[in-house]
Amino acid sequence: MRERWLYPYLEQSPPSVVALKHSVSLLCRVFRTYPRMMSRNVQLAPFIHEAQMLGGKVPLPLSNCFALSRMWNGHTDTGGFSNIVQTTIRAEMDKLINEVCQNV
Amino acid sequence: MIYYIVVNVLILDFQYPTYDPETLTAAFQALLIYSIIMLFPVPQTPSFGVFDLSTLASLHELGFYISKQGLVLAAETDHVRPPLNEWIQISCRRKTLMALYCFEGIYHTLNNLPTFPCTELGFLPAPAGKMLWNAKTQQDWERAYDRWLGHWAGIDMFIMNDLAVIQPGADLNRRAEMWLEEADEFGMMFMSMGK
Repeated sequence: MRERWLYPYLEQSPPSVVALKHSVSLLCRVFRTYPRMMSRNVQLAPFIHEAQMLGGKVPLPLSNCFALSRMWNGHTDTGGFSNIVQTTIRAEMDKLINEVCQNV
Repeated sequence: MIYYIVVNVLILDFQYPTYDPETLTAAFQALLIYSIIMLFPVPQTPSFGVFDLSTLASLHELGFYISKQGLVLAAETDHVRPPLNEWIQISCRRKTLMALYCFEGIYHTLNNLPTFPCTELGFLPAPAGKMLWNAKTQQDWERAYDRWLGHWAGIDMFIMNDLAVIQPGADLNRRAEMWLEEADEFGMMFMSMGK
């Protein structure tokens, strides 16, 4: 699993499969709705469970994710993915990745 | 040298909060949402490469560590009802991992790279049914889970690999049909990706 990201670039990777075009289009369409779902806070992306949001103890990465998705959605409505949004999300991603690496 | 190491360890201890398994899963989920934003930053507009390969590598690394914490509960293997909170955690882990593999497929396709089968996930139970995932209370969930156990008594669990081997055509075998009958929109998406 850890080496998967290298597969396209290595000769000894497992044989690739032809992804069906309509399947990937469907995935794109569906996946793009997930961040907006987060920002609207009406329903959750299907890999996030409602119980994770209960009892006033939402895990910090997820509560930040709500806040940043909302910020992103607010900016896309008014003219595009601004620098401030991109930099903030990038910083949060780097922070999470670093923190996670220290914990595993 | 030892001084240097001690100082570094102290600094690291100070800098990084400790993650319990729940927070680790939450970090994984949040990272995947951010990755989708990075891949598709502007709605209704084609992707324009703000997402980079090193993040994909980190996501897979994280997926690897998450999987090491376990992806199937002993109770699930034994066909008995697990505690609800454990079931939620493990289901979130599995679903996020499945979503990561879909995301990888999207990323590769958009970048004209080959896509690869998700054999590592083949052993995972296919996404849980709508009634279980959406149950509002512990009581509702326990009732739904017991009903589900009864329905699947003596029948092998439906796993991701079973989805992968579905043959073209309108007919499904009995287990696939039983699973589909219960599936939510996430499960339906996997069914629609097959041959």
